[in-house]
Amino acid sequence: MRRLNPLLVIGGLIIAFLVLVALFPTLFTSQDPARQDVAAQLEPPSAEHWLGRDQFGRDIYARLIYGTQVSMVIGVSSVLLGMAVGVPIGMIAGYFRGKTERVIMWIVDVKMAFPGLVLALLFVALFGQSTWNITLAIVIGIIPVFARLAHGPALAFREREFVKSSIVFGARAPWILYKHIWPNLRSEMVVIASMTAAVTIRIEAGLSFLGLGLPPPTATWGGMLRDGTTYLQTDPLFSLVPGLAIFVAALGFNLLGDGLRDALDPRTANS
Amino acid sequence: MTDVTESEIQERPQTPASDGCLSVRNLTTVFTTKRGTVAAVTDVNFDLRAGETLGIVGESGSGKSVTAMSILGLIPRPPGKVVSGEIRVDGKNLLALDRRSLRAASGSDVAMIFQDPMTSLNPVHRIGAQIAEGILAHQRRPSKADKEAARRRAVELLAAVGVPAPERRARQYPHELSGGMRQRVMIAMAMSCDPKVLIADEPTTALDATIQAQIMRLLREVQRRTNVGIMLITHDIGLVAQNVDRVMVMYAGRVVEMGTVEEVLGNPKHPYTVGLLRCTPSRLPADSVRRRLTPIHGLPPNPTDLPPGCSFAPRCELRGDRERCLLEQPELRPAPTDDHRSACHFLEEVTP
Repeated sequence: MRRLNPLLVIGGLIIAFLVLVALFPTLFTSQDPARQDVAAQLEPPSAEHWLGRDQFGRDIYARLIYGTQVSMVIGVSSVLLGMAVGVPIGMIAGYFRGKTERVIMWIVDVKMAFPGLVLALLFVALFGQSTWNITLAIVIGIIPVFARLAHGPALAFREREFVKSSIVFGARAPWILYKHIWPNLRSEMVVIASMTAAVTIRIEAGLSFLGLGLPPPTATWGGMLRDGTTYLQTDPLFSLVPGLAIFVAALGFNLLGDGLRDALDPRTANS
Repeated sequence: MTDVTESEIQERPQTPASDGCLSVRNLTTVFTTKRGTVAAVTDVNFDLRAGETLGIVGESGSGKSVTAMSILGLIPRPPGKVVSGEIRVDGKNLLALDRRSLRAASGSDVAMIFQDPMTSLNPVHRIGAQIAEGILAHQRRPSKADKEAARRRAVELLAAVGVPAPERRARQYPHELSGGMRQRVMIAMAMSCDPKVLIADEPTTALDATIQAQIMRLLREVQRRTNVGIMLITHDIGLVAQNVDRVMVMYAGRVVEMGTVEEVLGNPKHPYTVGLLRCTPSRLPADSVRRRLTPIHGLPPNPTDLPPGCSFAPRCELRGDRERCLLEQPELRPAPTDDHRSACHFLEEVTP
């Protein structure tokens, strides 16, 4: 019996918990995250409001719970989209070589020179702050990451004999990419996807912090962090809590990624 | 040269037209590099009959593999290109077919076994599925029944190449098999579409000696059963001596000598073949002169800068200081019969 990998277990539990919170926020709080009570602004923690209230008297704990939804949805869907577009692009570049490869990799290199957050800022500022636009802004930033990572192995696998013999048997490029090259990249890409989710969650929080995330009154971790900074001296819990949530989510995805890498790599799977 | 060669081959009494399952005529394949266009294979002609094994010998870069890749349509273009010639399998000229018909024809007509069975199977697919892929490749939308039939056929093929417990092996992954077993799987895959020609590019180089013998025996057995013509590409003269009907010796992209294995190895008529045989270990007594291994001096010519005359001339011991070898390209001619031809101006002077 194989021993369970502790990284995988811890990371998996953190992410499973966050997914649960995101899917069923009402299980964790009965408070409305948007209900204001100006009279009770910046109230310290109490039995009813576990983490106190913010500058509009909204329940911080409830906002934390509902903020999970935003982070997880945008973080995870942008990674999945980025992978779904980036990996095929990278594989095509690596498999076809020649002009196709030069053009694709040139665009990827140009894109890589841009910091992801700055590009996302520009995109959101231009097109508006909806869930879809924010996701798209982040996706554009991470497509090149997946394209670059899929490109190298595709380059190596195209020279392998099983690809040649598939060609001799009459297989076409889409079949070869899907049946022979993609399965060889799959486990590596899953690991990268998990690690990248930690990055996309931070980018989303960054956008919200800068006021370019989902507009208020939607609860976002980044937005809460920004609101809290004003009261850092008087009410440190206000900004500490969302900061911690971002940290835990990013840590969870990183641990999960590390754990998956060890579990999926045949060389370390049994050690 | 072309006309002579073709008429010679057609006149061969033992070669009825239907028997020549693969015929290659004037094949020239070039690669475009930064330092100019390189002819990897120049004007190669040969025939492979059904049920026959043709050995192709030569050192690295002599054009053996490029010849095979040209037949299989695997020359990467760019930079490579088959610039002229004809490759006929059962009368169909593979070079004249469009892509789609080529794909339909190759695979079912020409199959290939690669050198290293460790890297030639896809590590993420089960053995049975990999064999079935070749069988299903020719069906547009395989049904469930087709897939099941292909799976059963894969198991049969595994049994036929001597893989024990084929049902179980079919469900295993390549890393669970030894090198010899994997090469058997490769042979099963290659034979899955009943090819007429099987190209084996150094099929035993990566295997140890006892397994080599098993694999060669298996190839002979498969050949007896299916009457497939085998093109065996190798560096190993010993392998050629034991397993081949006819031999083609290549040097710098050209065929320099061709004939039955007894003739070419027993009575070589090209100085290069003589040189090759001199550096092959033999079982003669220790004090015998032939026992000594004598290397061929020098290196193969730079393919971007081939000498105008005989490519082997700069290394040839027979040449002496004859101008003709440096100026005039020698062509294959009977030495002295059609069954044994050599491309040497002075083949009459060649002694083993």
